[in-house]
Amino acid sequence: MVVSDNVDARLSVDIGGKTRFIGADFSPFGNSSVLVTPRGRGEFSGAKHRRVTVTRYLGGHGTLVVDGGFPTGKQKAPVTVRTATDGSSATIEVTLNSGALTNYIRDPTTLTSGAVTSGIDEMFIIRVDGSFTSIGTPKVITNPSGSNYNIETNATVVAGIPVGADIYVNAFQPGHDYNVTGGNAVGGTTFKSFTGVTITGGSGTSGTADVLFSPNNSNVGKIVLSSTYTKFKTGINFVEEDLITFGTISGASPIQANLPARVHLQSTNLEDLGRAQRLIDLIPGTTEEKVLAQKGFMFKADHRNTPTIFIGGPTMGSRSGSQLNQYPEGIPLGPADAFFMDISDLSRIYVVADANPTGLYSYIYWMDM
Amino acid sequence: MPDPVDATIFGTVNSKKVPISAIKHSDHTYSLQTTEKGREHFSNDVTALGHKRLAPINFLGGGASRGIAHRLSDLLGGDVKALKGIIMKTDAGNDVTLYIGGLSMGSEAHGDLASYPQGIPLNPGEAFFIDITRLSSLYVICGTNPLGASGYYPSSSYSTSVATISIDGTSGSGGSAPSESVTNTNFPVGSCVYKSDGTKIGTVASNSGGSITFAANLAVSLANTDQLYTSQVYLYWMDM
Repeated sequence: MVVSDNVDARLSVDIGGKTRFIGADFSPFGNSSVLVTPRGRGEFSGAKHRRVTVTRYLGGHGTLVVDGGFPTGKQKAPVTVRTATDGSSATIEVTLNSGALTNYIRDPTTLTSGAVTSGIDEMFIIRVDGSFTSIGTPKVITNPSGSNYNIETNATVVAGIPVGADIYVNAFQPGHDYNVTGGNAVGGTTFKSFTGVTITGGSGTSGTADVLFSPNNSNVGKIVLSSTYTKFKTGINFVEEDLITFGTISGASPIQANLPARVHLQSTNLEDLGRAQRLIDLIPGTTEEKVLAQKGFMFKADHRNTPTIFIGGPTMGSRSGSQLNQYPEGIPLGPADAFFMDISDLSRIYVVADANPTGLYSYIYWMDM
Repeated sequence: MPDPVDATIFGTVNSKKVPISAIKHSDHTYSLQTTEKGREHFSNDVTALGHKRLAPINFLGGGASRGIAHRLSDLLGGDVKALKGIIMKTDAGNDVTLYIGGLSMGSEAHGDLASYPQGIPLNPGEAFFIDITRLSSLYVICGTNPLGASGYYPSSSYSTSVATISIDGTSGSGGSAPSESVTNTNFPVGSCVYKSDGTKIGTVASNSGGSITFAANLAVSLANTDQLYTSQVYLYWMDM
């Protein structure tokens, strides 16, 4: 509509070939406004309106993936090189930037029993092409001052490692030599497997794992990685980068104390059951990435639900389970509660229950508007 | 006086000019036909602030320090500009009524507010949409004091350089630590802990038997005679 200055213009439309003027009214504040009538829709968006079952919940964060394998990659330690290396020494000088050095690199001389000629926790640096180069295992660690540590290794440290370079360790560190008298022989070999071994550590409260010992002299072996025989079975409340150690293993006694096998948990080992889920991912039988609505979506909780269901947006989706447990986001829907949200893309809507819904009703019904 | 000009409203659909429709009503008036369109995104302000639930502690009759209304943006830690307004919902477990109001509630002296509560009361589990588009223009106050005395005290003095405190059931020295379940019942994760005067100590990040770890270092130092108070009264909100 183009109207020149100082020209009165009345809005009109054509109805049945006749010009009809749009009505107006005064607001309570004295200004006038055009009368409008919202129009309904002829049809739904076409998406199936299948109810969804909410399975994640506040406080469910950190559950280990059941039957998940041990991590096999490298873990960046909070340790950086303090003095550039020149290839003339077996000692590397480092700075500890946070946490405890022994969480990543242990000093074998601190063992209270058993002799270890070199450390277990092999150290690495990362090359520009992404590959890792070993810089040996520790023999003696000294702490000249504050966060400064000097690590004597079992071989001359390669030259050319610059100041500030990150030190990496294996995410799985085998630790003890064990005196293995029990366990089940694997495949007719002298490898021995144990199931249901207790694991502890980090922020977790409990868990079990299956482990495999390598054959060695006089039944002495180490825990080794096996895609079949080393895996987490159960666990709870662990978080990424937690350090997990292995408890007493019946039939396998440690012969080198204070050097337990351990793993640094990585994201692939954890299913964060405390994290919100995209509602669109919970719709049974669909792999749609988008369901678009005209005005938004109406949600309603089943009247039989036990947990309250929180509905939120991308900020709810971006929070870790631990964060969400402290600061729940979104709108809570108790049993039978309904809520309209004017976000027109279902893929931006997230849900999480306020308590473990396993075995309980935790349905959300939805419809595009 | 210029001559009146009739103007028809047109829109563009697929580059084609189309007239906008109208609807005739029984009183022979006409109105434009409109279609509401939803949004693809929440307010940009929410990206950093999130839709965190709010924990008001001021209440009607709370005197000069705690008898005035909270501005919602102060409770959140930043302002949010919404497109259409703000929808709010109270926690179903709240044990007090929350009053939601505007600037007049925010500017009211505590004595007047206690005599004449302003705004809309929200009982536990109730929701309310208000078409005010700035969170900073909305205020909230509790009908009664939501802070409850826990009966537990810090086991010793703590400075603001720590995030974890031990607790026991005695003011001053001595006393026994509560069990894990008692600690969790009194100080659940996510709850806010205060001193008796309403000064916030912190938000509980984790707990164990006789110990509370806050999400950050203590906001104020504590003596072993400072009884710990908690509130589990919450207001949820979302921009619309």
